[in-house]
Amino acid sequence: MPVLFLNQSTNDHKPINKRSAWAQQLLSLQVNSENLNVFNNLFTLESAMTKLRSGLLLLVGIIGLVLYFSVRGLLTYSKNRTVEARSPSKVVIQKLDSPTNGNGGGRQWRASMGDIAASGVVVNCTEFADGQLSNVFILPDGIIITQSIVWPLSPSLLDTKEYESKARDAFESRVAIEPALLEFREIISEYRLDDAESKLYSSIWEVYAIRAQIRQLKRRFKEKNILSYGVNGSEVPADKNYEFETIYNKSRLEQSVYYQHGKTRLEKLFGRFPDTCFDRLMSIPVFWNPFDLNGH
Amino acid sequence: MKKRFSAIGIFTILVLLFYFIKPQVERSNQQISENPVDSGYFSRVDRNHALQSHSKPHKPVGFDPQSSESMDKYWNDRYETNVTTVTNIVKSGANSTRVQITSVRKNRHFGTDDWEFFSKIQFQNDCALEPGQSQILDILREYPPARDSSRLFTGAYGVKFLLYNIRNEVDRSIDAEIRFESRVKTRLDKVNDLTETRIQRDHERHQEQCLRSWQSINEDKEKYWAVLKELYGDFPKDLFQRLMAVEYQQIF
Repeated sequence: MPVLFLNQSTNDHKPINKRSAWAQQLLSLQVNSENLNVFNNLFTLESAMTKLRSGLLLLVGIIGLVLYFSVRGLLTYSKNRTVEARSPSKVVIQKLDSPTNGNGGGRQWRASMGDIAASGVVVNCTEFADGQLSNVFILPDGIIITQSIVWPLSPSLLDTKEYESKARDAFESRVAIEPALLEFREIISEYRLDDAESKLYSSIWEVYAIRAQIRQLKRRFKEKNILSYGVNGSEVPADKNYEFETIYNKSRLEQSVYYQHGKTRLEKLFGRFPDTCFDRLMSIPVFWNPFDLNGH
Repeated sequence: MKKRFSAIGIFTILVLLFYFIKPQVERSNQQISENPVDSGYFSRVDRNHALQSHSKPHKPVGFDPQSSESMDKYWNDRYETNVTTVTNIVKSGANSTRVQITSVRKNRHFGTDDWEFFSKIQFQNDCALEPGQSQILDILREYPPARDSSRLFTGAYGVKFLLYNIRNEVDRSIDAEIRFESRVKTRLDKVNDLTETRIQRDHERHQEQCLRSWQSINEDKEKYWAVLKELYGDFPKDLFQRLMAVEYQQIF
């Protein structure tokens, strides 16, 4: 604006005709407006550049953060997945139905585990409220085996003070002949689970029940093998590999039922139960069976 | 402008702080790997000795990896000629003392580049037959010093033998349980004045046997945990216990 006034004032002093004066004025105005535009443009460009620079910085920052979190998220996801795959006691649940699905009030699930998970063999398990488990093992070549078992510990006592008290007494009376109980206590205590102190002995007894079930399962597996092949493997059945595979697959699926049911009970007790803790507990062999604390 | 830059700067610093703090929180939930609690297993390991085998110069291969005969020969020649005798005196209960004398022959190839190569070939061949065994390697790799070690397969191959020994010990205890139950059943078939005493004695004997099995399994675990500590500088107890939970057809 000051430039325009200055030019206008200089034009007033020159003796020129009206048309040329108008033309000169117009030109001057045009030039001045160009000057003004250049000035304005300069002004706008500078501020725009600043804005753009900060905007770009912000954009680069945002893009960087988005990329960073995406990559990190992906890495964490893959890491979690690998850890999951590395968990030797992890049961792979393929399908889970809630008790409301008309299966007689039981929770149903289909699962497999470990080295047989990829082979397509599965177990359909129905857990009933009274602690009964109904298993249907679906093995290769259309072999279907059904089994009904009762979990050695009553579901009614779980997560009660009475259970904890009875479990503590049972622990004291059994630990001399079953030192694995001390190892269970040490591992569970290390994880500092919710209300661990008030549920410690209940959880030890729960883990003891799972491990004892696995021992009994291994005993049955051994006995079946002896029945199939003789004490020294001297008796050779017609299709030895087939027979062994069937027994092995069925036993592993049964193991997955014990792991899953046992872990569900532990999760009911604590709200959550880490896979790593469960793995560690499942590495410890026991030599006796726990007694049902209902009748103790 | 300055305010914006400072805001972006603070935000970046916060993100970086979050990056460095977060993994530690995750580890505390994962437990113990960073700070293993040593309670019971061997802790007398010379940590300075750890990983020294890495600096050994590479020796020429002592076997032909293409020839099974050469591999078998290398395997059969693994024992040192010197035999170490170990005497264990085990006291169980007030009156029972057991003396156990065992001879130990060390694997002279252990810790060498040749043995690592041999272990790798054998482990990978076994994994091809039974993929479930690869879990051993996966768990070992969770511990960075083991993952980056040039003795990774040495450790993994040894775990297989330990798991096999534990399985055998558990099997023996199951055999003993079956025998014990059968003996009790036989005694109950021919009831006399001494039946109760005899059953009680059988029961006590079986209890002792179970304790011995538990002890033997724990000794094996302790020894091998010490070996892993020696190989990798240290080895967290929680990871070791997870290794012991691995199961596959051969050791079920």
